[in-house]
Amino acid sequence: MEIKEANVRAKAPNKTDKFVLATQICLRIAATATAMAAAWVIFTANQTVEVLGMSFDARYSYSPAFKFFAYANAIAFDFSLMSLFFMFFARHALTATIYFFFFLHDLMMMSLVLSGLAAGTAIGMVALDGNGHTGWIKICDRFEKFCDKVTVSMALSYVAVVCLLVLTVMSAGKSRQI
Amino acid sequence: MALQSGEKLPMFIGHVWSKQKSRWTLMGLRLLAFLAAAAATLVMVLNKQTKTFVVATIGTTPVNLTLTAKFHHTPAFVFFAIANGLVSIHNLVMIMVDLLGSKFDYKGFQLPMIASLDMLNLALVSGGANAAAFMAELGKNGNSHARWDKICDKFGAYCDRGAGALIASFLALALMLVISFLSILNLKLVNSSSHNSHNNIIALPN
Repeated sequence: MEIKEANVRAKAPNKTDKFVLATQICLRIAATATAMAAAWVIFTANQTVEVLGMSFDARYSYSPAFKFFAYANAIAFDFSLMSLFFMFFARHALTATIYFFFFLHDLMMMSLVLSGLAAGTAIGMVALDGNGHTGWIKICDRFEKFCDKVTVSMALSYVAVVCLLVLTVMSAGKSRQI
Repeated sequence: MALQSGEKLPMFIGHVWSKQKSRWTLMGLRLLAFLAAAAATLVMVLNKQTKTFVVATIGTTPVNLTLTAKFHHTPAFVFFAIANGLVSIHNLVMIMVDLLGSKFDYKGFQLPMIASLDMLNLALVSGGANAAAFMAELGKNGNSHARWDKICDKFGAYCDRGAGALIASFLALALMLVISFLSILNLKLVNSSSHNSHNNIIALPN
């Protein structure tokens, strides 16, 4: 019978499978590293400015959007690290169902980091350009270092999202084959 | 079979999840997502409020200042409207493909394309909804550290309608998540059943 033959046929790891596994591990390392770097940079982005004897400071916790962005990157770093370890130690026993769970994990992480990015970018653009209609003045001309660090953090997070997107598509593709 | 011998399918795949049920469930969810995203787009695009403030009084004549709150004053809301518009178009096209697309030859790419497009649109609506949500939070609470005043005490109706659009968009986001999940499940089911029978989840040309 067709089905029994497909089951009995031995599955030796060929070059394509090794290439896909290596790519997945590299992308997971990249996503983990960039998420960690983005979270680290925004957690440590502080700046204090003295104006007319009064001191104003800027940190990530003063804006709920930046807080969400920072926590989203931190959570994505944690889960990506766990998935990296899981994939590395279970690399000889990866089945279609396990790839399906990897797909779900990557989809969730990509959505989370993208949400954080969207929120941070929206508020970051208000901080950068101000909004004339609502009377919100820009703050990036005073807090240049803070704004630069936040920009760097968001750029790293964009790279993490791209890595996670490619990982999602690859995991989805692998979850239907084998 | 796509699964190796002795491996169990997760509980939710299996005999209960037949192909016809899967198809109509997916189409129903797509219809709901289309309606939610279209509602969000429409409410946001038509969101406008004009208010007249008395800023000074010269003698006995009050000096009026008329301010208008429109959605395109805020880039995040523009992105929100565009993202939800694209998602509603995507769901509409997918419903059409499901109902009418059995005559085209997709060369085996139909299900992976549907799954990839669903994922991309999930990312899009997620970005749009969250950007607008945090802009709305800023408008509602202001930010004392950056000296940004809240605007929702003055433009209450604008904020309420924006909140309605946001709720519809988050509903569309949840539905897109489920739709994405089901599309990938369809891929697995088709692959695992292609050795057993020649039926397909979505009508493909025989």
